[in-house]
Amino acid sequence: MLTNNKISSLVIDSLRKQTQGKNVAVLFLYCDYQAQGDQSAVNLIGALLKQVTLQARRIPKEIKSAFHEAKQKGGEGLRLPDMVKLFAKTIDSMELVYLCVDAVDEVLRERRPEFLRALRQIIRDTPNVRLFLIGRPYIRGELDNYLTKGANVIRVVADQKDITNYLSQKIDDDCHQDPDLMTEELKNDIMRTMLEKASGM
Amino acid sequence: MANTIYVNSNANVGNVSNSYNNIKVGIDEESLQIHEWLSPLEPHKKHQDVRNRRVDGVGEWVLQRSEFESWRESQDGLANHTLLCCGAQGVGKTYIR
Repeated sequence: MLTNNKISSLVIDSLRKQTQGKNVAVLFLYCDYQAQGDQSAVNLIGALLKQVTLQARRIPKEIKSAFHEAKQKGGEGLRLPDMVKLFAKTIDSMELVYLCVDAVDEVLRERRPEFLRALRQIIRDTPNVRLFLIGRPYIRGELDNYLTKGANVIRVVADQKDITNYLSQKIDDDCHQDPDLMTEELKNDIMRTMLEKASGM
Repeated sequence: MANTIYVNSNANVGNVSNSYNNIKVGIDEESLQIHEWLSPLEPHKKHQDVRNRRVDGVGEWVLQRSEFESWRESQDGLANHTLLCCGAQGVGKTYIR
């Protein structure tokens, strides 16, 4: 079914396709309840830089020199303010940077303010960044307080075409597994009932 | 995960296979260290997993919304560079049981 993270993946793929060969980066984060332990603000921003290095042919010099500097000091990780600065410096020469954050509500509540402030700083300091956030509706107030006040909003609702696409694929899967059980009549019946229920929600 | 396994295995194998592995994956030792130093998170793996489970056509309408297009094309220096997408986890799933 149409989950938030599928929308994120769709947005990411379409941006990548459109910007291929340009001096544009498409960076993203998938926040996840199951990985809350590792999802500190510094690791999240660090993961964006990791993608920059994965996508670039060679490691950007800014990152390399920060790494060597840290190594000399015993190999410690960066602190959040330095990670944010390093991010801004590294992407400075890019024409455009699309930044997609999926399921921002799945970052641990206590850690969200720090993360949202870091995103706010990035948006303010680097005019070449475009931020796309996805979250459940209840998080909206919190996001508005930090960075989405006045931002455009797309509300995701169950779309009839989405439901039809999804159902027909699932029914086809069932047909292949148990060809004797599914008939055209039954298939139509399922589709009709589901769509009626979905539109009457 | 693959990176981690690879790094662990490095500790136990000789130099010859080490450089073989490096050539094979196309990443040198220092790059791996830098990746680990930056973050333990691996969003690119999750992305691959999610895009594999996506059904073609589902959600395409989001890309056609004017809010999306104007966000994507927005010029530097304009007031708003942020777009928020709000939806329940598993839109539809909640209603179709």
